[in-house]
Amino acid sequence: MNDFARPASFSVLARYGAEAPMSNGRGVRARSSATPVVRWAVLVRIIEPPSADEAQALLAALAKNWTRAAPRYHDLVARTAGIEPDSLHFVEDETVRIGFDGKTPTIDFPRLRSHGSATLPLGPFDTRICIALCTKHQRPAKQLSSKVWSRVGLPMSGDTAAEIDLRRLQAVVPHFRQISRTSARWGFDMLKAVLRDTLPVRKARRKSELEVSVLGSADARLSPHYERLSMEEGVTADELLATPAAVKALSRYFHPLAGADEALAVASDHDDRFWFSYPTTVPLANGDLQRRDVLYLMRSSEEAAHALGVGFDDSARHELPRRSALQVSRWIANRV
Amino acid sequence: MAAGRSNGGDLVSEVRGHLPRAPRLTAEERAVSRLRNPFVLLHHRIARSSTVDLGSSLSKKKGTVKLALVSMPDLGLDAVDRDPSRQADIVEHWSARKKDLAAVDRDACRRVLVAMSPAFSETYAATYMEAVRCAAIDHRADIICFNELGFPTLGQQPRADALAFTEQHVQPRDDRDRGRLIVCGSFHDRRTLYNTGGLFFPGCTSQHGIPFHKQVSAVSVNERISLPPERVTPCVGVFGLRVAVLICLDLADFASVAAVVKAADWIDLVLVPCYTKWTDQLEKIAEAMSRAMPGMVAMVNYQRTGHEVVVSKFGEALSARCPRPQPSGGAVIHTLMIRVDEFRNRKLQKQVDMTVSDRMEWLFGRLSRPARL
Repeated sequence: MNDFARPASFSVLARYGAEAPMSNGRGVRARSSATPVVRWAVLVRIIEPPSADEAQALLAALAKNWTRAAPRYHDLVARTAGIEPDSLHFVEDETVRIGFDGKTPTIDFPRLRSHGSATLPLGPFDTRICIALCTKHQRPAKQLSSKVWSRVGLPMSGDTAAEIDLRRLQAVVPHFRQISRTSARWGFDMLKAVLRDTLPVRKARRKSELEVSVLGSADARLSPHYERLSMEEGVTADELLATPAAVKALSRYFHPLAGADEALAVASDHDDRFWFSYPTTVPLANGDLQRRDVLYLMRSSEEAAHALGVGFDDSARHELPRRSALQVSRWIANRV
Repeated sequence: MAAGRSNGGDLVSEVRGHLPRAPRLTAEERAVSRLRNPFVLLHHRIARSSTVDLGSSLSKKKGTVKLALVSMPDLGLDAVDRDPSRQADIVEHWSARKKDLAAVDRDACRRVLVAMSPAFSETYAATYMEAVRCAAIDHRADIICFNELGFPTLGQQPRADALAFTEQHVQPRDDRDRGRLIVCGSFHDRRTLYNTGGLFFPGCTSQHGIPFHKQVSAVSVNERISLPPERVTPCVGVFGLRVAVLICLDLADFASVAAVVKAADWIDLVLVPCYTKWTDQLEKIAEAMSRAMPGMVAMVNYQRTGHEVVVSKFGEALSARCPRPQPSGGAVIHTLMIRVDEFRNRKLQKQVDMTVSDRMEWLFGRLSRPARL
């Protein structure tokens, strides 16, 4: 893995108008930029789910296999992003981590980060694959769904958080989605191959796919709408989306995520298309821990289910999209 | 679409089934059904939780965090045959200038604070320092928390020697040690008329640590302190655990508790230094709070046999060990080992499953779970 290590460079952030946050925790400025995070999961059904010990053995085999798989993953991401392989490196000091997410055994592979001007026109990003295995000791519904997750977002270093100008977002989000989707499917193939070698009697089947993508923006035009949403007796999404001003403000961010033809102001009472909100706690620049809601549109397409969220993010390090996407992913993953 | 991949619509329906259904109601019924505990609407205007950066030395995660809860001896404030020259006493102050007292509400301006006599202060400081030493060196605790009024004062100001000793003992002792967080209990300060505690950690630049203040006055036991204009609960990250600190009756203050519960996906452990005879009532609140967060609430009281420590983890009472050696000065140390990964995993499991009752949701507002809107 060290063969791929390159010194990190964030100079390219400036080239794309990436800015440090200017929120002071109380007032925010009006502007049109956002921090995107795209997560894509392949939901896997392992016939005869493994026991806890077998799951650990499988994760150990995946970790061992990573030395051989890492260069292929590196090339795949470079090819998908349309950039030179030299523009990507695995983050130094990161190793394969085996752990638990709740009761679910998980494995996180090292992050792959782009750097340098060769990442044009996509811009800087970082990505990671992780695999969560459901074991036979878990409740029956969960035996159906181990997951291979891939996350793509903007790189962070120390206190520096990045944003992307809204004009570029329409181009960047599909790229991120493509990288995330391809990586997750590649991860599934890797899981299947390692499973075949480690536990030959088990078979992994692709059940479905899931996308959780979130945009967080400190755009002050979003703030009043999210304040109304956050109040305990606040408005419903239907009421919110019946307000032209709210639709106008939200559309700016939902359209790059969901596609320009997506009509937002539609009643949510459909099984295949509905709205929900998910609260998350983020620290503001002044240290205050503050609850912030992300409004999600859940809808389906031929290839996947999509949870697409937009939130008002005045957190110090633009953490809202990353945290909310992770929490919603966990929430959904624990139920399907 | 690749073969064997199913339509995302099934998945969306499945997720949809896990969100609460909005009942079909008339406008009037809807207005009533949306009526929640009205206090949760405004608490954030009253109280807030705020992070304090402890720097890098304590930020790196540890496998197991050792928590030492130190109960200092009784100050003897209730004793009938109290000897003021030998023990702690209570002293009156006024929050208005004496010449103005005739013109203002004299009783509302009266403050009653604990004062330690020089002789008692000397003994108490020796006890405090021996307890710090024992917890930091003998037990190698990562987090040390003293009870309310557990910090020695002289002339109703914190003793300089105790401050220096605390500051010295938060530092790493050897290569294996990364230092520790000490919550020094609290003290009545005649300069501010506050009940003030301090957070000490390696690299802390302030001589008095990071101060925090009690936000409620326990008038029923004749404590009459001034209150800070803002109710702020400090939250710090220590070895992978996120810790908030409340002082005693703050735990009974709805706004302060709700401010912590609402930020609970950022907070794992709430430390509560106490000086009270009524731990059983606070215990019920601690239990409710730890279930609602979900997380752990650890209260440390002054030395009262059997009531020094109350710990509630995910809504269940937990007992703390009273290990040897104990400090020689009369303080009592209880310890708890917290396996960080295991704790966080269980917290996460509780969060995603969220079996918290509706009563908790009504009490503290909507917790971290999605709501169909």
